[in-house]
Parts: sequence; C-alpha cells; structure tokens
Amino acid sequence: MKNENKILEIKNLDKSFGGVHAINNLSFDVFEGEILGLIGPNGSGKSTCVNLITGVYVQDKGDILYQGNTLLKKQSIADRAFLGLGRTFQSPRPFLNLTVWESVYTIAMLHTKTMKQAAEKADEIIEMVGFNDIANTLCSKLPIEKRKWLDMARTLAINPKILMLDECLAGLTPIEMDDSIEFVKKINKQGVTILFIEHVMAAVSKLCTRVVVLSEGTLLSQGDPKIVMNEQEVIKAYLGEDYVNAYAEN
Amino acid sequence: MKKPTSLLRKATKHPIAIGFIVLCMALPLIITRGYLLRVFIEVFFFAAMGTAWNILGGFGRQTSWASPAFFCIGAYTAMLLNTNFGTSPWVSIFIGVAIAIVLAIAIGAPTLKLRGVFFSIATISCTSIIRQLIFNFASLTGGAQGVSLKMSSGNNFWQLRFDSEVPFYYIAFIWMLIIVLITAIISKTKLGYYLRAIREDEDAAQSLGVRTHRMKLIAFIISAVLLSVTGAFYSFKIGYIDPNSVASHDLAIRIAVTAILGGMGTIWGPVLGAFICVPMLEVSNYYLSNFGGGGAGFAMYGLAMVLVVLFRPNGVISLFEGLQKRFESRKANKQTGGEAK
Repeated sequence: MKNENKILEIKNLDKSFGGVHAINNLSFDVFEGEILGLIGPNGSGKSTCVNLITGVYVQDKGDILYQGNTLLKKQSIADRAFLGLGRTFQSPRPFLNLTVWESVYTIAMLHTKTMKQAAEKADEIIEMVGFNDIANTLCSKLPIEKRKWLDMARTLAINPKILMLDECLAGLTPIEMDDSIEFVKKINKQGVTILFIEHVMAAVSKLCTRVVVLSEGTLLSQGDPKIVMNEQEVIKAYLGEDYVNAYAEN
Repeated sequence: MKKPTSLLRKATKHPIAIGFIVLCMALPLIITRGYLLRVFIEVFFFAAMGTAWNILGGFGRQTSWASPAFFCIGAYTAMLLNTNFGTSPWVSIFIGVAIAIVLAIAIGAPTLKLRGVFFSIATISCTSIIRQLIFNFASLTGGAQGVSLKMSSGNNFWQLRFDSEVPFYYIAFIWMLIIVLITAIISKTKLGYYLRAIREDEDAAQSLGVRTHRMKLIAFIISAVLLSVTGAFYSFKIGYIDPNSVASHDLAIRIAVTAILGGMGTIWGPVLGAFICVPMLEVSNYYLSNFGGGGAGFAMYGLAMVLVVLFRPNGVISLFEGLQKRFESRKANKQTGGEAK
C-alpha cells in the first residue's frame, strides 16, 4: 500500500565543519506516508542531516527538495516549520515553566487563525496524546518519557507533513519504548511521514518500513530493514571488522 | 446591565491590585510632605521603567542594558524641543516615540540576532554610544552641562509645569498603570506566549515556527516606546537632565534590578520591585551617606539582588502569589460550601 510520491528528496548533499566532512555527497528519498529509519554509527551524520533539512545549517553543496520544491537557503527554520517540516531534538527541549497544555497551545497559535481555534487544537492534541490528566502540570515536573512525548505533541501542533524524530527512544525503559513505538505508529497513521533516527535496532526493525544507513556522511545502504541489517558493510560500519564473520555465521 | 457586574466580578479577582490602586489614588490626600510625594513619584517612574523593561527582559528573558538609551531619547527630545521652541511635552512625546522606534530597530535588528549574554553585552555599548553622542554634540544637547527647563510659576498642564507635586504624582501613577495594563494585555496575546516560548527554549521555539528574531524585535520596540515616553515625563518632573543621570549604566542597572528584584515575567513584579528599590536607595543615602563615598546605596542594591537570587529567584512577588492563591482557594471553598447548603 506504499505511496510512491516523494515527499523529500536529498540530492548530492555536502556539508563540512572546518576539517570534518560531516555529510559527503549524500542522496536519498523519503516517500510519503512511510516510516523511514535513518541509522548509522555515532558521528555518521544523521543529526547533521536533520539539521540541514530543517535549516539549522546551510549545506555547502547539493539540494533538498520538499514536495518537489527546492528548499531555499533563505528559508529560515521557522519558515520551514510552516511548510510542515517538524522535528524533535535528541534530548527533549520542553518549555519548562509552561504547563503541558500551554506548550501545545503556544505552538498551535502559530498555525491557526484565532486563539480560540488554537485552544481547540491544543485540546485535540492533548486528547490524542493521552495527556488529559497532566495537561495543567508544569513541564519541568514531567519525567523523561513524557517530555519526549510532549516534544512530539508540540510538533503535531504545526500540522507536520513530515516529522523527524531524533533518537526519541534513547534513555527509555523497554516498556516505555514499546509505548513510544505505538505512539509513533499512531502519528504515522494520521498521514504524517516519519523520519526516524535511532540507535535501538530492535525498535527500528519493528517500526520502520525502510531504512537508510549512513556511515561517515555517505549512504552505505538502503532498503528493507531486515535485509539491510544483515549486509556485511553495515555490520562492519556498526560493530567493526572483527564482527563481520561472527555475525555472518549466525 | 451585564457589563458592570462582570467588571465588578473581574475586579474582585484581584483584591490586592485593586486595594493598591485605591490606596495610591488616595495617598496625596493623606501625605502632604513634598519629600514623601517625590519619593512616591520616583517609585512610580521606576515601576513604569521596570515594567517596560520586563516586556522583553522578563517575558522573553533577553537582558537588555540599553534602556537608558531610549529613556534619554524621550527625555532629551522633550526638553530640547521645549527649551528651544516651547513645544509642549504632549506633542514632543510623539516625536520622541518616533525617534525611539527608529533607534530600537537600528539597535535591535542586529543585536537581537545574538543569544543570551552576547545580546546583553552588545546592548551595554548602546548606552555608552548615546552618552558619548550627547557629550560630543554639545552645541545641540548642552553636553555635560545638560539641559534645564526655564523657571516658571503657576500651573500649566499643557506645558507640564506645576507648583505642587500632586499633579505629577497622578501623572506618574496613571502612566505606570497604563504600562502595567499594556503588559497585562501583552501577556495574554500571542506575542506574550511566543516570548515565553523564546524564554524557555529559543531553538525549540524556532523549530516549531516561532519567528524568534521578529518577536524579540517587536517586544524591544514596545519597550523602547514606553521608556521614551517615561523619559519625557520624568525629565519634566525633574526639570533638569544631563547625560550622566539619564544615559548612565547606573540607570540601566536600576531599571533591570527593579524588575528582577520584584519578579521577572510577572505583571506586578516590577512595581513591587520599585517599591523596594527606590525607598531602599533613599534610606541608605540618608543614613549611610558617610560610608563608601555615597556608594552605599548601590551596595544595598547589590546585596538585595544577591539575597533575591539566592532565596527567591522568582522575585519578591512570588511571596505574594502564594497569598493570592490561598485567598482564592479559601473563596472557592466558601462558594462551594454555600452551594452545598
């Protein structure tokens, strides 16, 4: 049932920080409605890639096409949020001194016409996320799992077409992880494309319909998670040379 | 028929604020000593400036030290136009506002791109630049000698000259109330919410679509306009201004400390802060003037600041918020109790 419309096209992307070549001639596509896993070892350029897409950094070379249009350098981070590019951060970034409801309400205001509509939208999102009983709690009182969910809830208020989740499972207990996976699936069912950056491989294979593997800023492999993760190159990049044979024997 | 009752109901929600306003309105009837009234006028002016600073500094948590720049623009515009052309301050206020807006954009557009401490440092230089400009263009501004109003007698509302302190008491008080009201409105509007989001996490706010630079700039301009008007009133109250009093870092610090001490990001915090800071300076100037070459007052500022940051980081107003909450919950209890019967 996969939709073959490309929502995001990364073309020959290049980015260096001083002497570090973070992204090296990277190209891949994201299709509408899919959950794409973006994986790779530490420092392989996953977060840089998200930062380039959302406009935190400007690429040295290459293009990013969103819904067929090139994202221009002058389009700021906020402009891109209005286009429907949502993202969360590696460590949650809650508005600590606002309540859960206020956080969502503030963002909903940006993307609705009146404050009344914003309030309705905030109610709707709080309901959907299941935050009803903690709606009036200060964000600073939330545990880590709820903070991660709140980050996602907030991004829902921008009416995202694509949501980039940067390690949204890191630091969670196995049960919390399962809940979060279900939550991501729920968001995806509403028609939001997900770009899922993750280290936890079990979650990736459970959730993602396709994965893109990065290594040292270049594309190593892409395709079905189960197949890709057994490729020698991928194992080598992740675990090192010695493990290739050990893993292949199994 | 509906409106007055709803207004009344709204008023009863803020018993402390209403009590405070009524008390201040009645005060000149009780106090007849000019000195005490002058202290109160100073309190209101600092409350007004602290509240204006609070819009960007408190809600958006962008610590600006450029407030004297706008304050002295308003003061100098009003004074110079009056001494040279006899222009009424009620007219020159608007000219001062126009200049303040231009200056706020010129200062704010580049500096607000900086984050946190870097923004603060950049704004420090703005006040210095303005002060040096006033010194250098002495033929226009009077240089270090300053500008003073001509002596006059009789009451003239159009020219803001009065024989007694009472009219200025009410002007300062009402102007302070207007600024407080503007802040209260801003805190309920989109701008207020966006500023709070910026305060909490600028990167996150930006990634969710808050145009952070524009929002900070708007707040900076509003704050500049209010400071400029305050400057105009203040200069006519004092009758004399010079660069060292209206374009000094001391003033920048006094304005910010007023808001920080009272409670940043709250509506009545800076007002409370002014009621603490100004009398404190007066008292210490009187009793401690022999210590430290007259700098004892500012040492008190520092001490008060340290104590607040250590024990009440949300400002002195946080003590009162607890009281208000208790009052409300008791009232709610009473109401539900009444219904049950």
